[in-house]
Amino acid sequence: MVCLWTAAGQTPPEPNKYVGSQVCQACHPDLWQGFNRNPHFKSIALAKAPPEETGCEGCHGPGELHVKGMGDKSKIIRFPYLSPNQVLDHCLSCHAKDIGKMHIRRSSHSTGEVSCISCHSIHHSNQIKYLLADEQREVCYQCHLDIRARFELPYKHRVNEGAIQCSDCHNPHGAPMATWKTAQSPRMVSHAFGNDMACLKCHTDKRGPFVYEHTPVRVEGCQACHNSHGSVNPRLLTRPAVFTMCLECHNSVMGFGPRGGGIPAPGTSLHNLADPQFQNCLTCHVRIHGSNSDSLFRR
Amino acid sequence: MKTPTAIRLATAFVLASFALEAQPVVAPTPDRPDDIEKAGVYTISNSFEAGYRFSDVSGNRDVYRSSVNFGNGLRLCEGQLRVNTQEGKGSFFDEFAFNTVGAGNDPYQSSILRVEKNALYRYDMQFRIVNYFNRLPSLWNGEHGVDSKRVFQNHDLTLFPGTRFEVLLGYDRSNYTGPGFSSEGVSRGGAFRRDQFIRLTNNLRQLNNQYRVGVNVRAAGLAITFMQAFDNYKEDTEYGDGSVFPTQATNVQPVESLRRDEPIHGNTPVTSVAIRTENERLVGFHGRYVYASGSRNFALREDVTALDPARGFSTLRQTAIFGEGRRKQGSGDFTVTVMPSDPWTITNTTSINNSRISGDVALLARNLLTIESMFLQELGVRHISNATEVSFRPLPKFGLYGAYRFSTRRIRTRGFFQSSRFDFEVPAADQENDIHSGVGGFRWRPIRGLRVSFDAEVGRADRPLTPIGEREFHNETARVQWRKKAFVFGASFKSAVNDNSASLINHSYTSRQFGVNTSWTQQDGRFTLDANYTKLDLNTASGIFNFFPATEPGVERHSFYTSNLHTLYFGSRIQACPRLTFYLGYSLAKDTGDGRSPTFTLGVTPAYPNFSFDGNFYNSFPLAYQSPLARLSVQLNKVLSWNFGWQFYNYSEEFIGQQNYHAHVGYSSLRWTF
Repeated sequence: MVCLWTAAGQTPPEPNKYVGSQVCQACHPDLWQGFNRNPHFKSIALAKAPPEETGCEGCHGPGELHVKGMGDKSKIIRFPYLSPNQVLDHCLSCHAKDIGKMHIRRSSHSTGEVSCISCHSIHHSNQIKYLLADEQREVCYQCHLDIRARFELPYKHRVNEGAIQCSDCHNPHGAPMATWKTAQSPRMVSHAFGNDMACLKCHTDKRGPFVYEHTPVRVEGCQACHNSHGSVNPRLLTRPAVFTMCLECHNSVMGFGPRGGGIPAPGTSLHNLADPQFQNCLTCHVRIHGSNSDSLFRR
Repeated sequence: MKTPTAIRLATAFVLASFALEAQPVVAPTPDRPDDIEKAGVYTISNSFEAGYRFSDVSGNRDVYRSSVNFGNGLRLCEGQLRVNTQEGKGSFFDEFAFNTVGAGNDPYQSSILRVEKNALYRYDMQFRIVNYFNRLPSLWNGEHGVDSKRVFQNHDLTLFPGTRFEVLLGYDRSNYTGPGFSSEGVSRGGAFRRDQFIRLTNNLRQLNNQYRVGVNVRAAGLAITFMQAFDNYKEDTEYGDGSVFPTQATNVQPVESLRRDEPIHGNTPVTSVAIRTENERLVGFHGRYVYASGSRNFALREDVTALDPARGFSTLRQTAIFGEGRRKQGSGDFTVTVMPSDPWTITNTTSINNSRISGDVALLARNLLTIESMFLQELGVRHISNATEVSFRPLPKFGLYGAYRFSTRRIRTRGFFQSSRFDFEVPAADQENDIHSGVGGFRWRPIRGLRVSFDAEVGRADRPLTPIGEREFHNETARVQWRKKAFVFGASFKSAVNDNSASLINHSYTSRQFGVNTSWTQQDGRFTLDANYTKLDLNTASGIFNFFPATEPGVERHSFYTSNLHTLYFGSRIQACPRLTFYLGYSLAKDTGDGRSPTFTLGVTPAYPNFSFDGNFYNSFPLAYQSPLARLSVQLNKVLSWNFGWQFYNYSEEFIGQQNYHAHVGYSSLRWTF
């Protein structure tokens, strides 16, 4: 490289060298204060990694020219001025080993140019884990306004109450293709047990296997009937009353259903809608997620 | 060079961020970096907040408990303890971090713990309790209610974390218990009429344990993870006679006695392996494969006696069923990422998922000794998907995104029935469904702090499984965010349109969501403001076959559902003086439905006043749910502060007034920080 510069008649740029994190402390005491609580402090404490993988310069690059330039900002890597891809490259140089970040290059966040520092605050985080810029839900709510609204509804998963977090169901770093629905969506939902719907992490009784599976539960996923974030309807249902929801599929129209012969509509002789009992499909079909003893999910 | 002022500003930023919570239900406990104490080789920061929570509910307490559920009593509202080594060379640990929320008797309690010794071990624990209550009127979902408790534990121990050879150990436990009630359709003649049902009480007893062991190895630029998990599920719910349970439904079969036992036990071992490149400079790849093979064994024994009105004496119904459900599922994916230069990122992912669910069930005859009938059932689902995604940034401030995705899905079913009288087989049948979609969009940063993005997706599916599935659809998403110092303004728009038509029927939906938000923090953090508004519109029209007997059976009608949901949130934190801080908030969720006046169903029971019926169903559910909030925090001295909070919930439906409730929920607490 030096030969190329010489051949061009130019002076080669002064090589930049690593100076060590102790030098950085002199001018940045605010960042150093409490840095022992930062996960990135481990590399300094262990003192085993080479200079380019440890301490301040592990992320910000060699600092000699920055120091010589009396804090010349153009001589140091400043993350807010990098492109999202460059930020990703820097962080993945260490974090690519994490299995949870396998899909980060194709995640909706990366393709949407939401980079690591959009959610993580490396020096000013007040969170116990993951250096998040704020409480996890607040970080997500910044962009996902519609989801925030869902958690303000009467029936919802208790995210605002602290019972669960967004990352219990979602992997913000990207997830494999869904094994339910048509595999194309949802895109950022993590998998329970490696290849099952995230809902089944907690709702283990719905996981089965059942002798009689309600096919859409396995094939289309829970969201065929439930708004998983929140709903104005009890039990997070997509409709205020169950029977209209059921009848939208159970209409016997040819072409639909696992055998293509239509999804059976209730027989008129047995299901009189004037009778409240038959307006509540789940009064009788109680095991609607799947049953072991009845093909009509009645017990 | 930074100054102490900068330190104070950073601290103020950290403090201020707590004020931007969405409807917090417990007082925040700021972890103040300047309060860190030194003790030997460690630094310690600790704070906890304890107090009394009270609630006063008027109206329908069941609906309140089904949606809010806060009660009275002493609480450890929040606690946090962090111990870290100053030099990273502690004797037994370098980091100890503990946080708990709602401990005591709140319906939602959560605790996390991390203990780590650098490069030797890392232990993460999460413990949660969720008290889930649901006792809503039967007209919504049938005869079901529960007053339950879910206890979740997650333990993960990593040995040699951060090294090239990590050992991964884990244990999860989920326990679901509590009383409830349910119902059962009655399907035999005599005393057990086909059009009636009986009520059951139950005592939930579900337990799930999962054990994990694995390794994470890094060598030659690759990281390989192997994990073996063993999942065990046990359900021993007890059932009893619940015929006296109050209900709004009719056609209840009076039973004289009922007993049911239905144990379900099963195991699911899960094996997974993943491999990925560590340094993706030009080309990177990763792949994974997960195989799970699970089964659940079950037995059902039920004895019910009921009075046969025709005969005038009691009839006993005995049922005994046993069998096994099985599922084998293998899933794998492989992704290649190519980054020829900084502006370009190209990924291609192929994913395969294959699951086969089968089961057999035997129904014992009345003598409970011989098998009367037997069923075999099988459901197979196979996905093959491929997606190619391209990100290109021709200009530093402008990027493009495009993707093409293709999936094919095959669903196979078959069954077999055998009885002492006849046999029949449901031959195997396949239903195949292909879906193609294309996505395009751009990201633009015209000026520093302003970010604009837009994506549009168009897709086609040839044979959806259900009428509500995606067939001809398009989705659009747009976002704008402007951030200048401590001021943030954002807006988003989402639209989803689907038209799923068949020869005789049509289902379509249009969903549009619009939202704006803004937040601002004064420079010294003494005043913060956070507000957002969203409007969520959903309109669906579905073809249904009306089987209301008074009209012609089997006539195609429509079911319309309209939801116009407005949500508003406002929160502000005001530090009136160094010792006094207020927090004010307000949230509103209002569904205006389809805008029409409530109409009562003609012909159909008034149990559904939110439908108008002219052969079609017009379905909407107007309600308002609002909740103002106020908090006061008084700093008594350097380490102690007193907090008082109040929140009011007002749930109001337009149609069924007996479900409405008002609730005052509050707390008074002391926070000790040292």
